[in-house]
Amino acid sequence: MTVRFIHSGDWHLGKSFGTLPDGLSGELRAARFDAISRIADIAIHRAASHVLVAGDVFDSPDIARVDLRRTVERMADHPNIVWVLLPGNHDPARSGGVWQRLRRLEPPPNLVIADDAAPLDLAPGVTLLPAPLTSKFPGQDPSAWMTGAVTPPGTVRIGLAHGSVPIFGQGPSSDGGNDGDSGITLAADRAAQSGLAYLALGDWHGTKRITPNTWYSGTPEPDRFPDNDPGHVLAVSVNGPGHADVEKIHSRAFTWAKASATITSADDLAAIDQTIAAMSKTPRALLLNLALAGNVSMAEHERVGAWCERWSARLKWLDVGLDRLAIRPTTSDLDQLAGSPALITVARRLVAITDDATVDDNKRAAASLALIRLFGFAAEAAGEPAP
Amino acid sequence: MKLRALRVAAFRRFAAPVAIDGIRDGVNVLAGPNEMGKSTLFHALEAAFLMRFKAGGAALDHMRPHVGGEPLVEVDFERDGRVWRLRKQFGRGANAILSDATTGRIEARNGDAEDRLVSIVRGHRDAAVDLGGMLGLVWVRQQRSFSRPDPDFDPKTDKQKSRGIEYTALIDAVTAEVDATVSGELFEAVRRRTTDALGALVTTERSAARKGGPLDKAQSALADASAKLADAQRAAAAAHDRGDAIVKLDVDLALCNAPGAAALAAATISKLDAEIANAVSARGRRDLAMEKLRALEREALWAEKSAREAAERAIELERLGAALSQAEIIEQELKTLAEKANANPATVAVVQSIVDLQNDLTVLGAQIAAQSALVDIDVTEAGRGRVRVDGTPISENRSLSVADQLTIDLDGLAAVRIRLPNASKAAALKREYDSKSRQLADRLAALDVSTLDEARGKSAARTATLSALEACRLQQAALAPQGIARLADRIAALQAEQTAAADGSTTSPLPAATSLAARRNAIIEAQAALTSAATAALDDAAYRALVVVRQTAAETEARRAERVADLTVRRARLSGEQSGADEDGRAASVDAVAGVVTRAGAEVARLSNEVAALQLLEMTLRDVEAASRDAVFAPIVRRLTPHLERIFGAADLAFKDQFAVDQLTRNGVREAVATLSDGTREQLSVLVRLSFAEVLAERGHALPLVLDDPLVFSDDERLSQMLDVLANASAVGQMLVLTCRESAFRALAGERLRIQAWQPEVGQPTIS
Repeated sequence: MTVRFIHSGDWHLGKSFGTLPDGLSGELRAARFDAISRIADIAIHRAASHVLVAGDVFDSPDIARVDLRRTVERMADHPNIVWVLLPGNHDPARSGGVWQRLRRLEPPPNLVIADDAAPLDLAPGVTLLPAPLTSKFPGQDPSAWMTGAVTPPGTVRIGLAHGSVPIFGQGPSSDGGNDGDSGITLAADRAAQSGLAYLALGDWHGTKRITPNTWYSGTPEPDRFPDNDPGHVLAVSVNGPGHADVEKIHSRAFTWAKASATITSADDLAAIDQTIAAMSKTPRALLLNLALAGNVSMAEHERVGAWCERWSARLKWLDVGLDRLAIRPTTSDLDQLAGSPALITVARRLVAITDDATVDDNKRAAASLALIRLFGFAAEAAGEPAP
Repeated sequence: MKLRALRVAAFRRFAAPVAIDGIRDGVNVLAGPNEMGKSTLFHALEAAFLMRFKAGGAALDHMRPHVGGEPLVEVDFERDGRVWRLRKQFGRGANAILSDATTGRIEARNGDAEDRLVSIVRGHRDAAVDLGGMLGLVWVRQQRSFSRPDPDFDPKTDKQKSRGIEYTALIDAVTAEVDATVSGELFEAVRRRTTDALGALVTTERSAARKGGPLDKAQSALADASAKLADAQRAAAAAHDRGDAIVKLDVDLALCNAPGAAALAAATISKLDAEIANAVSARGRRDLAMEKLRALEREALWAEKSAREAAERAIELERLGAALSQAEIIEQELKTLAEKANANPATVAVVQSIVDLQNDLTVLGAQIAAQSALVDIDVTEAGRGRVRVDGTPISENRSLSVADQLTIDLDGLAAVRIRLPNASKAAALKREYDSKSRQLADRLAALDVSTLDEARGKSAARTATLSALEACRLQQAALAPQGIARLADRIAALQAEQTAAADGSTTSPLPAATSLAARRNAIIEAQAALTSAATAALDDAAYRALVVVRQTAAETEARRAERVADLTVRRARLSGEQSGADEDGRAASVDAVAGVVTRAGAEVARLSNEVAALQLLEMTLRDVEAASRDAVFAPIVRRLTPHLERIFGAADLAFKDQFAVDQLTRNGVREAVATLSDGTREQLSVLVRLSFAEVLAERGHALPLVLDDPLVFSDDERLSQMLDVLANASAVGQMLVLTCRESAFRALAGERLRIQAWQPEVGQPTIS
């Protein structure tokens, strides 16, 4: 007997991306709902009858009603797929909470809310043991009950849980609020303890194998600049009680990437061009967080600015950190001010501030920006006829 | 620049043309009386250099002499070894001609001539800079206010005058090399852009965001977003609190409204009620048993008492009955004795009266006898019955004592009358005797005796009866002190009591006749029954506790039911509110609004950084400029200091705003310039101008120092010192002193100038 299902999690539907510009945040919000349809396509393609979502389906229990409705409608679009939704720490199963609100919308029968820690028959001979979270901080291993759960002999037991697992030598898999952010610790050997054929985990936004039959699927659509491996779902085939085949399938619409580079001249930007090109085949789907460091001349700094503008125009989003990119005016930079020795003095004083380790960072940053403005104003003035 | 000649015609005091020629390097003095026209010459000098040749109106009128005419001014001046001639015709036919004084070649006319003049004098490419300001530094009019060395030559008509000209002039003129440092154009352009950029963001005072500017807008946007966020957070917090409250309510409801809780409470209460009912009835039984025991005990006591009383009564009855019987016998005897005594009249008194009567009779008999005749009648047989004594036949012999008369009838035969002499007495005695004898006889008869002795015997018998009677009476009194009737009553009463007692108590559980032993048994049984009932019944404390438990249970249940109702209502309300909040969606917007706040905050931060950077740039520009200006000030102060020391001793001048002098410090005391004496102010003014002139000369921009009637307020000593200073001011290339104090200024060595008649050239020089 083979059971096929899609393992996903951490959908964070309704996440606002409020710190990003309005248009972009709208696209990113829409992409998360679109992920439902993409997962449905993957499920159909893999002949999977169920999609198990391991918690954090919704970004917040306060999710707007229209977004709940959207979720219901997306799932209703695929009546042949059973969507099993597990409450996570972002959307715990609380009285009067998001799941009760969802139920009030009278969702279709193929939407199953696994908010009860009790065996749930998925198919004949296949039982799901869900470990819903009932609060943000449950304070105990919500999957513990699986071990004592009684099922008829020969039943395929599949676990569904949300939280982090301690990884040998590293502590919990959660990285402290970045990806696995629940602060809930699950037993790493829960599958073995509880006789599970497969344990589907959520909370860690990247895809991660804990044991051969215990996996984090990661979020199907990345929602932040990661240091893990998001953007996949897992197609799982369970052949009897003891064995699971897991296939990692690309599911994301947008790629989020982080990069940092130290440059000494604008020539170094070419190498970054290559790095960016390697990140995504479609730059328009790439969100890049780029931190530049190093010392550049004023002229180089202007070139860096132009380079950033070009990439901003080409990418979905470019967030460049230039805080650590220091400006060192060169002799030829200073030649621009040759008409006024006093301005050269001014420039030298500002450079001295940026170099002074005893000055606080704000003032050094101000001095750096003041330098940029000084040269900018001088260039402007030089470009105009004298008054 | 050095002046070489000044010529005027039709100019104020000088209707006729005059000339001052031969102005040399160094000190030149034009001394003369007040009306000589020195100030007019000063005016003319200013007009030449500063007045537009096309000047009109009041300025022109002011130049015209009273007699009329068109003012003409001509100056020769030398710059860099070349001598120039500037001729300005004001009024009708106004023109300006600049020519080379040596060759006579005309270099420029009119406006061009004026422009050329400025650039020649200033030696500066920027003709826009005001020449007046510059000259104003070193051309000091008579009694010119010290603190404002303005270049205007007529306060009433001046239109060039403006604040700060002297400063600008000095900056422009004094600091050729400062210009090279704070290079005007680029530096100013950067500064202007900095100021503009900053001005777009913050107010001039740099203290707040400029209204409507980007920073202001960003701050407003941030404030708006923050307010929205606070609102959304409040909504979200309220929603979460409601969520928490609902969860807690559900928990509370589950706790206090567990299935069967009401039934359990009801069962508990009814069980308690049953227990209480049982307790009540057991306690009732116990109370009854106790009551029965008490009754039995009471009756036993009563029975014992009544038995005791009955026995006592029986004894009494017996005693009284015996006494009554005895008393009745004695009563009978008393009656008998009383009858006997009553039947015997021979009382002691009666007997005594008899004795007394006998004695009386004896006495009386004797007395009668003594007095009476004894008559013895012996009656014969035949006379019996026929003899009558006092009518009474007599049959037997008789001896009669006759005391008074006696008639003896002898049957017809004779009547013998016996009469006694004392018949009356004897008769009285006889009557008494007879009375007493009748009394005695009556008494004896009454006693039914015939003799005294018999009477005595009878009296003794009576006395004996009376004694017996008294003895009986005593006995009776002992037996029935209150009489037989009372004794009988008492007996009857006792018998009634006895009968009543025998009837017994109506409440008695036992027949009145029950024996005491039976009673004791009954009591023992009742005690056992009580013990048993008491064991089965709760004592008061336990019973009260049970009642309290029941009450508590009922109250607890009532509270629970009330709480369930309350929680249910509250939950329903919160659920309703929660639904409302869901529809509102504000809670859901927290993240989005927080993002807006973050972005707005980032924009504010970016603009604030921009402000900080621009302020730093502005400050640095200012600092560098100030340092450069200090480089300008330094030589002026350096030049001025020895002059001040020469005149005032140790002294120090404080410059106010730019180059205006504010304070003089002498001997450590600061004095505001306005409060100084006219003389001191005047001296300071001259010294400062002297220093300016020296510095200008030092920088290669030498201008003649022109003093119009200076030091008029100075005393001789101070004047002498001042003149000494002026005479030694060799650094100033040229000095022109106009004074009316000819003798006072005699000490000032130098060229003495003369006003001479002048014949101006008619017509205009040709331009070659």
